[in-house]
Amino acid sequence: MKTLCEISITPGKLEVNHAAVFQSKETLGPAFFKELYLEMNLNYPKFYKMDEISKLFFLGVEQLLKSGKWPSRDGNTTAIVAGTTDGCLESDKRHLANITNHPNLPASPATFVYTLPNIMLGEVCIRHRITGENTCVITQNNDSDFINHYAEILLTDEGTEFCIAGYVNYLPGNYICLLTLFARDLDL
Amino acid sequence: MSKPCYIVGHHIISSLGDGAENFYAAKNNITGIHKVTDKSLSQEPFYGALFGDALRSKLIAKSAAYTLLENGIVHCIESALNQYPKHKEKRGVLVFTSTKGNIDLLNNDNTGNIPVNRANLAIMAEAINAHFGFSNPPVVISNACISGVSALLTAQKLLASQAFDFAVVAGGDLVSKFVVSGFQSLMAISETPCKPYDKSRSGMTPGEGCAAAILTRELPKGNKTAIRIIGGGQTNDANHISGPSRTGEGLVKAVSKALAKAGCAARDIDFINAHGTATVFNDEMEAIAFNRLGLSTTPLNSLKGYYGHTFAAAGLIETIISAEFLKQGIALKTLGLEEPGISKPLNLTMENKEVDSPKRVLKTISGFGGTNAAIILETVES
Repeated sequence: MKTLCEISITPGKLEVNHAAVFQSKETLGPAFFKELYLEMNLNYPKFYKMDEISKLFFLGVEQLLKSGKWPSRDGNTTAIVAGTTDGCLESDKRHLANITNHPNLPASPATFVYTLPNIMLGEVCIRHRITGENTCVITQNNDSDFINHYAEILLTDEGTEFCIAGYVNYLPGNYICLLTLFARDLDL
Repeated sequence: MSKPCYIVGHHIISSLGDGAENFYAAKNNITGIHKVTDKSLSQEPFYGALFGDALRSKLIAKSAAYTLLENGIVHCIESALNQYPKHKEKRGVLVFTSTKGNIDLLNNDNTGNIPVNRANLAIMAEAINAHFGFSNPPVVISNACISGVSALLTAQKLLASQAFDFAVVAGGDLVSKFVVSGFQSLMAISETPCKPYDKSRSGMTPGEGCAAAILTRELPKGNKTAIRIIGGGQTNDANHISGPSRTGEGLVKAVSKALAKAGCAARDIDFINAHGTATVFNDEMEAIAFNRLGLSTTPLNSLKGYYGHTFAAAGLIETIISAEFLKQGIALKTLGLEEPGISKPLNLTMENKEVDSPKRVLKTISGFGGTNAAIILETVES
């Protein structure tokens, strides 16, 4: 497989192929993600409904596909494998707080639907019409060896031409999104 | 075509009981769904498929170092490994799956002795991995309701890539206040035991379950009949994060991929175990998809009426049960179904149905995030 593009989002910084393309004094997740969203000129109001890790993954994939010149008609042949450590923990805590603090009220469905770590992959699929395999892997740390190995397995599949692969994690005060766009190496 | 792998051992626990009790109950069309009045799960009573008291006590007594769910999964792995004695001399990997794992550890009133960080699925899986002394790190998959089938297909891919000789695919989920309140807020829980594909269906029934399956690259010598996984596919609807596509497009793609990988056509499938959660939209979506696939006359069932929707365990338990009944040539009755209410015809099993010289079963599943998966099993005689 060959690498088409790499991006990273860390507090206050967006990099493409290891060069900073956007920096901000705003390092807290919610504020920085909004700034990035506006900077990218996306006009995708659903963004505001997402939980923080989904926003982070969404923004990372936006930049990755744009910088990697991903052909947008190829959603059928694109797969995603994403690793995360804490996954949807913040949404889990929010849902738990809702049902603990308001035991006589119905829970918030808008919060509950984000209490699965693979939802962020689903959001990206909807946005880009990606219908290939999606796999969400939970790892204690960023296990790029495994993720890249898995991307390679997915790209041996004849129906898969592109793979979005990487690691994304969000906790208040700390977050990271490291993504690579791989393509099947046609020379092989 | 994909390289097949073999299912050489398995164990399940559910509301129907421990191991063989599940197969006995299913064959006799007994349900594990009951009215639940436990206020710690829900203020309002609901129908659920919880572990029975005997099983629960047995699991709690097993080890104080593990949660109920962990003990359940460990129990399944122990029993499954016993059916594959050669595992000690082979290179293996644990492929672990759950949706909400030990979520109850995050409750403020949790005063147990299990560290809170075991609510993290990777740390939970590591604890189980260490218990068995597996030398490779576990692979943890969390793909919503398709997790069980997803984990089986991941294991198959890892075995085909030659990295390991065998995989222990294991996982499970419990019925917690966390999930009951969430599905109640989505109006997705049935007011009766769930009624898959029925015209009066009104939602799913949450269930508890754990399962383990041993997958090997080679059929161990001496195994006369076995079940092998010959193909699979996993796709996304790219449509909605918490509802299925209206056209069944994602499921059609997943099944088409699985058939291509297995080198089969629709007519080669002898029966289908579908997802059949009994939500209005899921079952309707499946009817449309199977019609588009030319599978509307193939005997088809849902097992949700037996032990509810067991989330990450569902794909594992249902694959294992379908594999066992494939050997016996029986497509189980779709328990809970009285009068079909879907817009396209399906050959739904209204009673246990004998299948002539059965060879292949297709298992499908769909879930939140727009996920779909399909897996095809085949009987082999050596």
